[in-house]
Amino acid sequence: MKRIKLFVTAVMVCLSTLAFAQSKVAGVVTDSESGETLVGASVLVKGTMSGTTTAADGSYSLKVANPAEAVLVISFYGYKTAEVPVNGNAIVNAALKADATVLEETVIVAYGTQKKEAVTGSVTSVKGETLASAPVTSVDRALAGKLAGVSISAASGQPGAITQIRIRGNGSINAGNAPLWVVDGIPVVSGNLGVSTSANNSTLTNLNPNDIESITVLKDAAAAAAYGSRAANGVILVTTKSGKEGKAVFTARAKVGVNWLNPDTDFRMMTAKELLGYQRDAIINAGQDPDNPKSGYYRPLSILNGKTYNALREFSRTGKTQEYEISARGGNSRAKYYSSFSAQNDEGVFYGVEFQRLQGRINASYKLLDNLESGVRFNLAYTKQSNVPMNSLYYASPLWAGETLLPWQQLTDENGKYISVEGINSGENPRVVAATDDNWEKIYHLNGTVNLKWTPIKNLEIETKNSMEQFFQETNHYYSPVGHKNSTANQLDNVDQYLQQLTTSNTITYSNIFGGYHSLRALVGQEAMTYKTHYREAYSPEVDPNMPYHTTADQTTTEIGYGESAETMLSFFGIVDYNYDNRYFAQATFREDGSSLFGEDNKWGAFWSISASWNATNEKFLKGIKNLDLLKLRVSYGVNGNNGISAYNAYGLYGSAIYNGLTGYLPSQIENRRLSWEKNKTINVGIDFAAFNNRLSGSIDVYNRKTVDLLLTKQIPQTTGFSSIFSNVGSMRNRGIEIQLEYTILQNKDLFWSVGMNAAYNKTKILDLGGDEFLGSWRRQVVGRGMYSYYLYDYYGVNPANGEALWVASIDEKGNKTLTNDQAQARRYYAGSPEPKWVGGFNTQVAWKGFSLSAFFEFKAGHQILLLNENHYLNSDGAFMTMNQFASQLNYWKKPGDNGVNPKPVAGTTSNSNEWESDRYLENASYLRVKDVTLSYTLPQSLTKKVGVKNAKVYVSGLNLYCFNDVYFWDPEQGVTGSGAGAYPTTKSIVGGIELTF
Amino acid sequence: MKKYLFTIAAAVAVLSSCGKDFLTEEPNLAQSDVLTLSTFDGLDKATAGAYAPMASTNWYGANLILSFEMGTGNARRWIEFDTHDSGRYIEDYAINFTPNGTSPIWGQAYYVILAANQVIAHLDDAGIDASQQEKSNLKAECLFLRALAHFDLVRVFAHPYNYTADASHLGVPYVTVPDANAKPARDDVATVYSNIITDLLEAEAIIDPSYVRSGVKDKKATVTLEAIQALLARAYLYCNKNAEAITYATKVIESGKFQMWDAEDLADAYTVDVPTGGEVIFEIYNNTSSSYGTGLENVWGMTYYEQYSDCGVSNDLLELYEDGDARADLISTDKEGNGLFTMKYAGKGLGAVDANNVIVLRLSEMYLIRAEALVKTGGNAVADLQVIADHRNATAQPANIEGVFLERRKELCWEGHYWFDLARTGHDMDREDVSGTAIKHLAAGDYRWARPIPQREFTVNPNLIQNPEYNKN
Repeated sequence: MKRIKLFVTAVMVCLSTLAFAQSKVAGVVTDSESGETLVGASVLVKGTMSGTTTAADGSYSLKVANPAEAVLVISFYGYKTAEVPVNGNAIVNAALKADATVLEETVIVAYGTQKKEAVTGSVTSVKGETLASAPVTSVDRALAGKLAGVSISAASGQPGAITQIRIRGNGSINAGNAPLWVVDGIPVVSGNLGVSTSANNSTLTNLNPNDIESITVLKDAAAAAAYGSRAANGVILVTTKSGKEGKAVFTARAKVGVNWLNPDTDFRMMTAKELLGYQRDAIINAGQDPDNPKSGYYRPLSILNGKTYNALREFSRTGKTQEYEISARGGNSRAKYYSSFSAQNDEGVFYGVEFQRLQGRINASYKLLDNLESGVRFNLAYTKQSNVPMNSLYYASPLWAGETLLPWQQLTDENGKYISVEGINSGENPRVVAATDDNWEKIYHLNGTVNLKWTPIKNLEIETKNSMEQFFQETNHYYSPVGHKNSTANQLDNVDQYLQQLTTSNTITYSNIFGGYHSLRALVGQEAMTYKTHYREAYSPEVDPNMPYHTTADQTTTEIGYGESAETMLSFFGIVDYNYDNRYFAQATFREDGSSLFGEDNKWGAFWSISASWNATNEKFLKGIKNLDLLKLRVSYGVNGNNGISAYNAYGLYGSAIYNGLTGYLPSQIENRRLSWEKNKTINVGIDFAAFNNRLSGSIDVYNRKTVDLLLTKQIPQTTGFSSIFSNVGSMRNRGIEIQLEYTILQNKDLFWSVGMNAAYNKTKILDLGGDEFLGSWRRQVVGRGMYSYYLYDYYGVNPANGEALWVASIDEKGNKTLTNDQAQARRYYAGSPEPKWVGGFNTQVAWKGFSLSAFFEFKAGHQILLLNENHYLNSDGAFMTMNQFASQLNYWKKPGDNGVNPKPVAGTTSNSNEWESDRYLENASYLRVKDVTLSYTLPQSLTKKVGVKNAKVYVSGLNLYCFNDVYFWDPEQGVTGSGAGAYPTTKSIVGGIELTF
Repeated sequence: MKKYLFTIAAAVAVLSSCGKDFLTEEPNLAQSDVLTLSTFDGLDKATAGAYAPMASTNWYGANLILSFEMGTGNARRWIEFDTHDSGRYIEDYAINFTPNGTSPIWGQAYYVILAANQVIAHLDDAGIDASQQEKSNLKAECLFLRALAHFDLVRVFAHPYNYTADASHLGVPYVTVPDANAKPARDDVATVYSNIITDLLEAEAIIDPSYVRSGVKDKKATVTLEAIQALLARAYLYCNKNAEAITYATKVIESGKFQMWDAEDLADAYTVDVPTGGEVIFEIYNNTSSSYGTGLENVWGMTYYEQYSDCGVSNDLLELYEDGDARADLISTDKEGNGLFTMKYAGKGLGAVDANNVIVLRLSEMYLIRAEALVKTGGNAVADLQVIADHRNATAQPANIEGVFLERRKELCWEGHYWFDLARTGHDMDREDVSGTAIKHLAAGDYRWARPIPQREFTVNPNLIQNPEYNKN
């Protein structure tokens, strides 16, 4: 590391000796309204070819031949071009007026900022304010449906839980499909930190959505190539707010709301009366007497005389959310700062579920010298997630127990106090468990970056960013003896997890305009990263309930666990942008990554891209066309990597083996010296356009993304001693098209109305699995098909004659089906896939004076889900008499001739009509969701100024208010594999908020 | 610009070289091959670990004993009683094997072979700091494990030695070098036996005669000179080298290190945790804390009548014993008086999931090997058979081939011998007391005397050939 720093210094010194001509005229270009400096504005001496662009601080300097008469032409995308006479002055400042017709001027891209016009790759971005109002705990949830080609699925609706993000489909089977998150130029840790299987704890919850200035998603190889071996699944660049020159501005925000659980289909469980009638029929169908106390199933009508419950209602509630925040922003010509502090509390819809967060941020910069600037960006967060068993079929899960417990199961005593359930559900009443267990995860997070930016000479910028990200996580799960009338009572399990990621990122950027037409930016950089994590676990099978700590356990029974993982990476990269006369743009990117994850022979990988675009509207022959504001063609090709595998996969390893009183070693993993990255080769062709005075704008992209060297577990002869080796075989492909459109329907002084939409079609095809035809069992990866294919038994329907389930045994060439009532004889076939063909969203916004109403819709279409666990047990035709059933089970065969209904229920049936892996339970999961609707009102300034408030806004916002879908369950979103089990459903919420700026 | 590029190039060069260490992250919780195999301590532990998978339920921990006993008249599934029918070992009882449902020993044995070969391949590396004898002892252990693994493979997956006149029929690949890319063909049976004997002779020659692995709990579960000689005696017998079989059985018998169990000690001999004295020459140590062989499907769980007990004893076997024969007491009904079950794996009384040791080689087998070899070569086996009878309260069998064969069955039943004895001596398998539809007869030479090689191997190794008849599909 020392050597790296030395070298960067050496390079700096070497470059600073390059001599340049002294400038005669200098100045700063700013935004006339905000006073913010403009970076990259073009400054030309009128009538000549000589010119320059403004530096990072908005300054420029150039040589002028005739200062007395020269006129500077200063232009910047998104602003009206200004002509400023020099008049012999040495300092010429210019303030440009925004050109309101252009919506977005610059975008954050890999290692820099680019004029939107100059972007050659496929990027899409969203402004922070469109994310901030939504009542979500992490920013990824607010992105759903907002960006073309970015699919966000929630496998769990629990506050703080992760989402599954797929940019342009699934490109990998074993190396992960999640994009790289980069915050303020530094890649950050993302994913699920949850320790216990029922916890789901996203690292992204430590980011406050209100701190975010903008998010850019880099989708194709060209845009993302600068991130090399981590770029294959796309890159999400988050930029947090910086300070602004000017008087301090304080913003205070408060948000309160509620969230609740409600399916938007007619899904529900049976009532006591319905279930009793159903079970009595099932018992009679089984040839037994429900009124005979000695029969296996005794279900007299008198059951209804006792107290009955709606268990789900007992275990769930209306959750309350609240969030408070204050931020400050300001600065002068040398120092700038942005700081915020927020507190948030989300109660879940189930008793015992809660998410709390305290978070603070400081982004500050200071100009040490005119050409030397230093900055810090610190984010501190504390989160506490209180959990109940969830996300699987746990007895103590309020969701699963709420669905399964028989309505006549007594949940309370005569005084209404919740009690353990007797003789069923492992004795666990989730309401008691939630109240008495001590089950939580706390995360203490620090992410700090210090940067130093030096401009030794004009047009050259040297920057070093050094970052430290740390997580300390504590988890505690104490099983109360009141909640658990079983062997888990008084167990205590603690896990402490530590995680540290250190990054240094050093870049040198040179940018200039030559001869007035040739604009060049060249960047070289170096990065190094280390990632280390370890955990310690202490588990005691029995502690004293009065002092539930390990100290009260029989010390010989306490078990200690430990695990660790480490990873390092070293990178060199370069980017060259060139543009000729704002008409022709080209970019080339190269990155060389070395990683500890890979085999001795393949530690280094090279990634690259080339891309070009043509802005036809700047051609003379298109200048005259009225109503055409922008027409740009883009094309790119590149190779990116995917390194998303766990550490040490390349090593030949020995593990420990206990035998005959000795702890010896045994080979545990076979060495693969050639283990390497998965490579994504992506070609992208796109078009951007704007017309009718920029009222209509949009872009269309088509791409072909091919993954080669897929990391798969390759089968090898067992005579080697192993049966498989992790190696680079296989390939797959994603192809698709993305469309994004915005249209301003109305725009005048008081009224504004716009609509927008985005849609993406993607098709995944597995090309080669290294010799295997398929992987997996009922949910497979199959050569020639997509990422997931459901391979299911072919359910035909009910036999109208006798109410039995019928299955298709075979289909002959003519399409004639041979039917059977024996499930074991049923044929299997590829019945569907959970991968949506289309994802997208549309939005509309109406603003009238201070009022603004925005609505945002999200959709996914063309896919199926298989809720095999829930259906097997709860749609069971009598197989599970100790569980409540879906109300849809009431629609069953009652008499000969009934068709299109469920098979007749038979108590304790072994007919397997409720076979898990059956297309009977396959459901069309297409949906259209009213994702968020926000109504806001900004009070007139004339009013607020009197009380010293610059800006006051009140709003009310609803999230997930309604979802159009046909899935008979809580929600059609069941994660990317479409088959969750007991997952916390997506909830609905409404919040009201107020935002004051002063 | 030129200077600039040069500087960058130089920077890359320097950083790449310092990157080599930076980019190495060794796993600390598992040892890398390099680290394990570069020190004597590592090699020693790698040898100790190589024993462990033999205790797996895929091998000595259950399958090698039970799957093969179940195919003979020694066994019966007591399906009349629900408590003894958990649905396990049905196909083994029916001798119904397919390439997709065959013995799991294949993978397990080659795993131990790899573990042994890794040690052997690195013992002579420079930098291994130990005396020649210390290295030789490890090598002898590994050679023994390699030989035993191949011996079990060849008797499970190949037809017996006499199947062809010169044993030129398909055996198993004899693997001596660790190689992740190898796709070996099957060696013929003669070659496999020849290699087994070569490995064992080398082990015999180099091992310290008094060597016992230090730190072990059960000294009988580690390779010793006598274990090597005893396995040699058996291997010679299996390939008809009777003179050598006599020589090696005699070496073990005359070592004086083992004593015949007396009749009254027999019941306890099978349920001790750590045997001292007695007959055991080499056994697989089992314990609930072991990495392998634990769980309810181990040899205890499958035979003990309080457990799954799908593997019961037939009346055919019980009826072989005369009154008073101590070995009959090793067969018991359950507590309700139902069925018949062996008591050779009735637990050690160590815990909820118990695990018995599995005897691989013991003294009475040495007497029986010598007796058989003597009979086959025209010698006199009366004395050897008398030793067995004297220690079991039984009448000695006549000193002819059938007498020895019967005594072997009575003595070594439920220790994984009978199926292979039937196979190598060319007997038909006949049984009377069977339940369900299990076959009562399997003619000598039938294709089912060799188990099919797992189907998955053929998809990844084009050089393998399946055993006859199993390819019909």
